[in-house]
Amino acid sequence: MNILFSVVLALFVTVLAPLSVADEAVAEGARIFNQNCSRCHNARPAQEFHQEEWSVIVPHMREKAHMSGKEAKKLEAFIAVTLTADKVTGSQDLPTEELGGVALMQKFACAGCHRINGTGGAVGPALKGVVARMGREGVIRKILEPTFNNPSSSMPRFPLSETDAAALADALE
Amino acid sequence: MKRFILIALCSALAGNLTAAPLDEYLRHGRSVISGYGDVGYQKSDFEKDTFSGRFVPIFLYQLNDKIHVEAELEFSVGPDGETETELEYADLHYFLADRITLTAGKFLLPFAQFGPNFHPSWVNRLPTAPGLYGGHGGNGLMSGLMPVLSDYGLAGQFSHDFGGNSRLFLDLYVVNGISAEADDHSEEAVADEHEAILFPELEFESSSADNNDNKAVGGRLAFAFLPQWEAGASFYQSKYDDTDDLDFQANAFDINWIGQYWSVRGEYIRTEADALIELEVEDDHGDEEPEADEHDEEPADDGHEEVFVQKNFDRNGWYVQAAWQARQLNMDMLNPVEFIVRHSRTREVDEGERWTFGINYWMTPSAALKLAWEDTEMDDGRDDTRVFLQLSFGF
Ligand code: HEC
Ligand code: HEC
Repeated sequence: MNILFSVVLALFVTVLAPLSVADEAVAEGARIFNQNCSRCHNARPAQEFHQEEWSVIVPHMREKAHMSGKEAKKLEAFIAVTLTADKVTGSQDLPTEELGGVALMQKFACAGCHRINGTGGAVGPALKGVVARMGREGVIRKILEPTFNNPSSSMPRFPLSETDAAALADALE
Repeated sequence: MKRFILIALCSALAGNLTAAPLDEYLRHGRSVISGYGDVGYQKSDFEKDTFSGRFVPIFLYQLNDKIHVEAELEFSVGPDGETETELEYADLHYFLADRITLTAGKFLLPFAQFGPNFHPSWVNRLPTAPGLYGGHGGNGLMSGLMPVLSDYGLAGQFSHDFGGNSRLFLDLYVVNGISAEADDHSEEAVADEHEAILFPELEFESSSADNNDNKAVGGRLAFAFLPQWEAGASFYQSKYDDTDDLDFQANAFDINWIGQYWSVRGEYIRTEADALIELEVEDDHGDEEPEADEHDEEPADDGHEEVFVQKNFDRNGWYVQAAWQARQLNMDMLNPVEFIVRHSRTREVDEGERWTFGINYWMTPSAALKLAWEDTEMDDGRDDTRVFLQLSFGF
């Protein structure tokens, strides 16, 4: 019985640990992005470079920003999750439409750059009342195509479907 | 027993996983070419209006997790039509520990902020460099205080995390140091007929061969409260002549206050340079500057005596720059627009003040069309007004 429990536990750890460790890293990475990446220059949106390129750029910025190695790795994880390129190549397991708006917000660490319900970063504006301000359609469009009303937007273009964006808009309401 | 082994195995696996998954999850690249460039147009009262431009590629290589190589080349065409190439930096970072990085090669000196961090044209909010950084971006009447931005040597970077958002940054370096520019005897300043001493046109350069045994040292200590605040103090000290007699020292304070829609940055730099002053000596030595100590005497060809005295030139200057993004107004049309104002002042030698006003239109987060108006008034009465239009891009 105990052995069975151990086996189940071992399996559980093997299967789930990579996900949870990465998710945690993403949330931390978002915070690190907010702390560092618009201090010297405008923040650069993730889709400008491929993930492989970011793995070379991040150490360059680690030195400039005086970040630690651990911070740099978490930052890379955050950038990785926001990358559209990975949706195109399909090599990374990215959002499933079953995730609700709140879960999507967590997955993509919106709060890394935005204040949501009182906490979060300041790279982007606080999202309180944004649906009232921009309209539901406006918010959906912003999420799918951040440059539509601002060519210099540093908000990443996330690998999200229209259904995902609608779910996010609902969650922001 | 079996159970114990299993649990041990299981926790070993888990231990492995907590270390490995992030790395497995990430993908590794080898190299990237990035960089920046600009194309500009400048109109001034004195000079013919001109177009100019630069292309500055950056080469980044990741040899492994610990070793990172970076190099930046600047290509431009000089006023004489010749293509100019400059190696801005070429160095290797060794990430020795989580918060310790060693650097070797030619690197940007961590002195204040503009030189190492803000000078690329897509990072600099204005088309010009602040008045105290003469020479790096068309500075008209103002001459710069800090002579070099990068040099060959070794550097160490350390940081400390106090928890939360507080950090301490420390950079220390040893480099070849500056030398008076070759074929230029400019350390010999001249005194005019009233013995008012003119600033020795000290033209410094850094090179891969040191001209003396003395190495230059410098560093910066900064405290940051991320992402909003950073304040730093820097020093730099070098001998610049062949015989280790003449000293150049610089100190700087910088402060950065960054908000969501605006940033305020300021730097104060003070330099002290020893220089040899040539005095036209007639018969009597009576009028000599009393505090200057006599350094050298050599008979000149015409039998007339040339006397050099060593004097210390103490200069300082500062700038404050504020930028504001009109995105704050929540009007779609103004989202990419930014306004900037900068005030620069240089003192003691080449005294003057300058106002620069700019408006930027950002086409992407790293490409801007910048329009700026710059007015310089020197205390001796000279003045200069310039208009700049620049397209700058980081890629
Ligand atoms: C201390 C100032 C500073 C900070 C903080 C900083 N950068 Fe940079 N960044 C620069 C400079 C300067 C350049 C221009 C390249 C150069 O001169 O080497 C640059 C260039 C870049 C580039 C262009 C590619 C390249 O490497 O040249 C990207 C992308 C970038 N930064 C992203 C980031 C991210 C992400 C962060 C957050 C960790 C960040 N930066 C934080 C100063 C900074
Ligand atoms: C890397 C930083 C970053 C992340 C992560 C990020 N955003 Fe943004 N976002 C921005 C910035 C910067 C702006 C404002 C600039 C612009 O685009 O006009 C913005 C603007 C917005 C706006 C418009 C707000 C307004 O008042 O105009 C919405 C809505 C928004 N983001 C939603 C989201 C959602 C939902 C997520 C998560 C899926 C997210 N953002 C993740 C940086 C980010």
